[in-house]
Amino acid sequence: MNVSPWAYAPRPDTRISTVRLGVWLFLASEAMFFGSLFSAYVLLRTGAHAWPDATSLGAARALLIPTIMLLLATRSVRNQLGLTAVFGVLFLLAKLLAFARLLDHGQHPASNLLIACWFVMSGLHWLHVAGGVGATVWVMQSKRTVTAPHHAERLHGLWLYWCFIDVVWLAILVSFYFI
Amino acid sequence: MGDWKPAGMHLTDHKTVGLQYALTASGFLLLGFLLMLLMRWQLAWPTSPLPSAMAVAVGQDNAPSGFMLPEFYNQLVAMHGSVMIFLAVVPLLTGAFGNYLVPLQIGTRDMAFPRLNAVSYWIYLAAGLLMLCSFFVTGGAANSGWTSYPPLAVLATRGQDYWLVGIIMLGVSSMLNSLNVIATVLQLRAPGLTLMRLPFFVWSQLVAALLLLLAFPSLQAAAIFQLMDRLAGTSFFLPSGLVVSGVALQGPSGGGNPLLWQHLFWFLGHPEVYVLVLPAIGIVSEVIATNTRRPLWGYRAMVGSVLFIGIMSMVVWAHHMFLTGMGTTLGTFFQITTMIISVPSVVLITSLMLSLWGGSIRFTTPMLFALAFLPMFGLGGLSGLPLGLAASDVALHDTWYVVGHFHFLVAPGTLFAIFAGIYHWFPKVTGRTLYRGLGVVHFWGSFIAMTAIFLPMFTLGLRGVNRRLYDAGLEYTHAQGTLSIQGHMTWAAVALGLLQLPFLVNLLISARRGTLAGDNPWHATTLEWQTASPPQPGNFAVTPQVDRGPYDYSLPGHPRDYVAQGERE
Ligand code: HEM
Ligand SMILES: [Cu+2]
Repeated sequence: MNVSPWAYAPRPDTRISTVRLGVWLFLASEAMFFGSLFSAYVLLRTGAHAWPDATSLGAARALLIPTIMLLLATRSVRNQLGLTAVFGVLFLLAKLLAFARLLDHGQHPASNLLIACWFVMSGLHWLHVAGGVGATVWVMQSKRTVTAPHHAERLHGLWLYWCFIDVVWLAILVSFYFI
Repeated sequence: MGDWKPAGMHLTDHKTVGLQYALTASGFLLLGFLLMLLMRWQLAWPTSPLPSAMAVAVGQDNAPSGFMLPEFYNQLVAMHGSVMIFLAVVPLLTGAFGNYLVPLQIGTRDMAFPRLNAVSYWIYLAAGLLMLCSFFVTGGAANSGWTSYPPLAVLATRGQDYWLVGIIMLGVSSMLNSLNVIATVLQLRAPGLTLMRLPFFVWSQLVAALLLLLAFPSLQAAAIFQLMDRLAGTSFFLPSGLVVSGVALQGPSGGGNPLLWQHLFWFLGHPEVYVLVLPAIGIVSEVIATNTRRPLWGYRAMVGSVLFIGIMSMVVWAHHMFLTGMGTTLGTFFQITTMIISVPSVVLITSLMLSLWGGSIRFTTPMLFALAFLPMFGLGGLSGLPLGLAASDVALHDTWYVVGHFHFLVAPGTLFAIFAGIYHWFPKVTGRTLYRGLGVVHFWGSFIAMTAIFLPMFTLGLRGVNRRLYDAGLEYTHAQGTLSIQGHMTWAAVALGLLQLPFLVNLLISARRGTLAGDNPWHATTLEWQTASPPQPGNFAVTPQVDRGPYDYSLPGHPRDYVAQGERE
């Protein structure tokens, strides 16, 4: 395969590798995506006559465990890639249960705007975590086919992505529960 | 050199992906054109049945005994707009021209992420086909305009779901493509090719890619919300107490905000128009520099302007929403930003005009189209100023004036730039030149026909005739005097269609029999002309080494009237 000269090492004039630049550009696009979701949330919430209490989504305490899973997944990217995938999957399962419980209690996306926003925003976040798990497995799998510096650069990109997912999750938590 | 053989090229090669984009998007362009002909026919003779061939093509359901249903006209309008913008013109500019030319012009082998590039094409193809399938579901295709405003779009027939999913997929495709363009331009430039030595076309692609990368996500988010409203019964865009056809809407909880859609839509929508415009100016710049044999006038000012447009285009979106009752403070903000963004646009066009001054102009076919681009595009741009001022927009909004305004930008504007680009780079892609005679017929014919179609639209609009009316305003007194003009416009549109035949014939014949072009038939300076036509996989036998600007034409003291960018002294 023809790898361009600066794919994994910083190009002298731009001071960044192509892989890393690609990840940053992707994250910029993602930031605009979640930014749009958040601005929609703000507009709807500030425009509403009455906004239901966030506890109808379940107690904040119940989200503690998934949150810790997510942070642990990110922490393990540097040294224990396998653990990242495991924690990621645990987060996905925990959230799936939480969604199911909400539906069981008759809290549907159609019930009110709060729940609708919650389903859409944390649902899209869920999909991003799933994507992160996929990417993690791919980086693990392909480790043997690339050189050490290549792998290191990919790890860094992966780590950035997990950090981004964490930030989005914390922003969702704070904006739904604590503001 | 010689015959153009795509065989043996890899599916991830930027030239292959570029050509795939080119062919697919041309198909969609033709389709958008045919949808428009149906519309035009209906507008010209709203009370008569369609001719039998058209009636058969459209089907009994859409035109009982040949009389087109208003619902079907709505589908045509929405799909003509969506197909033209999302599936034809933007993919031609970015996917086709961008993919094919950017790596060549910066002197590299391929895009930064070739596989993602190929994926971007396949997603685009799937999204396009999905949108088209919607013509065959109950209720037909999307019919709420290319803007899909709720509540109308939320309550519309099944086809709207296809449109929304298509848009979400197109967002992914365009993200992969634009990420690639940016990374390629920044990281893979040939040694010595500094940013200020980039051909202007590359700059225009870079800024267009940035816009797509950052603005499309907002429409994706909006499309997801609208899909939820339609499929999961949420009310993101449905206010409380909505009454539809005299009956209070039951079901959705309400509390949503229809204006939220408009904000999210136009946050993409406005940058999108610059995606339609900037690469077109990029193409025209290359053609003009080559055919005047002199450097672009004010290259630095042009680069500054294109960057400034990129930033400003993110803060003008609500000039599409003056009639939503926004407060005067907000209105003033968006009027001011709109007036400000028109300045760099004028700088670009003025620079191109001044570039002609004192040049030894060669009237090649691409140059004819590029020259016509300038005034036509200028007319489109200037007619936009009254729309950017709330006071005049109140009268002009939603009339034919708007349709005239943006068609001058996208049809004799951007489409002419695309034609110029095709005539200019066809020799590079196929190794053979297009015939000039047929090209001249194509140019003058299209120029006259386009003017005849679009100029009267301003008059209709100034008389207050609304757009998107399936009967062209038959029932309104103020529209009576305009009905006969619609007939003339339709004949001009038919003529425009017929005048594309010399072009198609030219493409087909020249690809096999045209005169061999050689590497650099136009004696142009930029790097794509310093390799074989068509370029071999890998593009350059030796990576070019650059130590000069992009347009070293007519340098004194040189045997030839140009020094190519990769040439060393
Ligand atoms: C080439 C000749 C073209 C002709 C004769 C033409 C004609 C028309 C007509 C008659 C309408 C509908 C007016 C109405 O009923 O409101 C229309 C709408 C529109 N066209 Fe074109 N068009 C052409 C090319 C293009 C191109 C190249 C683009 C985009 C790049 C484009 C984008 C649109 C859009 C966005 C709308 C508005 C759709 C809506 O109202 O939702 N058109 N065009
Ligand atoms: Cu705009």
